[in-house]
Amino acid sequence: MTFDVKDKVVLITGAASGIGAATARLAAERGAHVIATDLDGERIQGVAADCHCIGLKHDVTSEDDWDNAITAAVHHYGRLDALVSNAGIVNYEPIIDLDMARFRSLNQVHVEGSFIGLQRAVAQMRAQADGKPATGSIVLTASVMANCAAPTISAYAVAKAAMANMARAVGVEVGRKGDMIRVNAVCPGPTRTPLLEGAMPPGAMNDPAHWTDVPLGVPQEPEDIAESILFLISEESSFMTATQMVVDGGWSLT
Amino acid sequence: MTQTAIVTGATSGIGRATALRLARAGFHIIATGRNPDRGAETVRQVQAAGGTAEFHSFDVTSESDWAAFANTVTSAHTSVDALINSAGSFFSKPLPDTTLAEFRELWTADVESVVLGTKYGLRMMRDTQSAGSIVNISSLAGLIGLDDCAAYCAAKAAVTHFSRVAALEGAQMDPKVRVNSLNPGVIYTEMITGAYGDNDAVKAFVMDGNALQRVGTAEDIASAATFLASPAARMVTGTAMLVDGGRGAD
Repeated sequence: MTFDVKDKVVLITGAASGIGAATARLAAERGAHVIATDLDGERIQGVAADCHCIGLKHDVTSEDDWDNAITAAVHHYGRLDALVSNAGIVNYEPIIDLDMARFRSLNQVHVEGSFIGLQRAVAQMRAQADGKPATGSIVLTASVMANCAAPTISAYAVAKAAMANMARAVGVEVGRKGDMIRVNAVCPGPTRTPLLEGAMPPGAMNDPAHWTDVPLGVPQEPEDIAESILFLISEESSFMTATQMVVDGGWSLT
Repeated sequence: MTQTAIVTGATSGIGRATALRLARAGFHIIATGRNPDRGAETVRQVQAAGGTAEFHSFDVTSESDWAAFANTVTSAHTSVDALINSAGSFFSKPLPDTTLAEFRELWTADVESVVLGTKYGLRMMRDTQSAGSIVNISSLAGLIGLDDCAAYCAAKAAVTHFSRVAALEGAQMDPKVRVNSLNPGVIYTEMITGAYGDNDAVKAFVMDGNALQRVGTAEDIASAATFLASPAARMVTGTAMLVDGGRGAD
C-alpha cells in the first residue's frame, strides 16, 4: 500500500546516499518527477541514472546553488510541489573538544541550508499559484535528537532541534497567510545510513546486541524514513502541518 | 492472504471514514459500534467501495464484551493485522459545573475503552501470530489544553501516554506489535456538531484556529490511521501522530 505522489515535482537534497537516496528512488518508482541534489556532484549522477531523475550538484549552504536547483525544477517540470531538505552531516565530539568551526559548519548545513531552502521553495510555490492559494509540502529531515540526548552529540542536537522548530514556525506562518503550503519535520531514530555506520564499530550495524535499546530491535532502513516523507508529501497528509513525525522504532520511549 | 482490520466506533465520523479508507487499502473490515443500523450502513458503504466488511455490535467499555468479541474474531480469522480504537465521547463544560459522574462516564468511554481494546487487541494479535498495528485515536487535547474540557483533555492525555507504554509491551511480543496514538485537532464530525452545533459560525471558529485555514475532516484522520496501520510505518511505534492543521503549533 502506498500513498500517491504520482506527477509531483519533488526536490530532494542530500540525495546521493542514505535517507535522501531512498526517498529519491521510492518517489521516482511511484511516478514523481524527482530532482535529486547533493554536494557530491559525481555520486548524485549515479543516483540520478538509477532513478531516471535529474541529478544536480548542490551545496545547501549556497544561496546561488538553491536558486539553481529550484530553477532546474521549474525549467524541467514547470513547478515545484515538494521540497525534502535532507542534506546533513554529523559530529560526535565532547563539547569541551568541539571546535567552533565544526559547530558552525554543522549549523550552516542543517539550519541555514533548510532556512534558505524554505525561503526559496515557499517563494516558488507562491509564484506558481496563479492567484489561487499556493499549495506544496516541505519536509525537513530532523532527528529524534531534536528532543532527546546522547553524549557527544550536542552540536548535532542543536542543529536538529532548530530544524524541527523551524518546520513548526514556518508551517504556522505560511498557513496563516492563507496558503496551503505545509511544512513538517520527520524525526528519524538510528537509521542504517553511511552517516551512522561511519560512527559505529565495524559490524555493529548488523549485531542485534547493538539494538537492544530500540524496542523494535533493529536499525531502521532508509526506506522506512522515506515512506514517512512520501506520506507527508502526498495529499493524504494535507491536514498535517507544523508537526514532527517520529520514526524511531520506539527508541525515544525510554 | 487478506489482511484484517478491526475498527471500533465505525458507525460514524472518524471510525467510519477509517473503515472505508482501510477497505480501499485492501483490508477486510471488522467494524464495531453500538448501533446496528448504522453499522449496517458502514458495511454497505465498504461493500459499495469494493471492499468486504462485517459488523459486530458490542459495548467497548465492557470487558466481557471484548473477551467474547476477541473469541469470535480469532475463531473466524487467521490474522488480526490492525486495530483502530476510534470509539469515544466528548463533552465541554466548565470544571466547577462538572460532576464526578460526568467525569467518570467520559473516562470510561474514552480511556477504559482504549485500555480494553489494546489489551484484547494484543491478545488477538498474539493468538493469531500477527505482527499487527494498534492505533488509538487520541486528540490534540491530550497534548495541549482546551477551555472547558478538563475531563476530555485528561482522558486523551491518558490515552496518549498509555499508548506509549503499550508500545513498549507490544515490542516485547513475538511477532512484535506496534502501538501508536493518533492525535487529531478539531475535526468536523458529529462529535463536534453534537456539542457545539452544526452551522457556519462553528465551522468558521474551527477553521480559524488552524494554521491551515480549512476544516479538518474524518478523511484526513482516516488517511493517517491507514498510514500507521500499513507496512509503510513498519518502524513507527510509541509515537503520538498529530494531524491538526497546525492548530497546536502556535
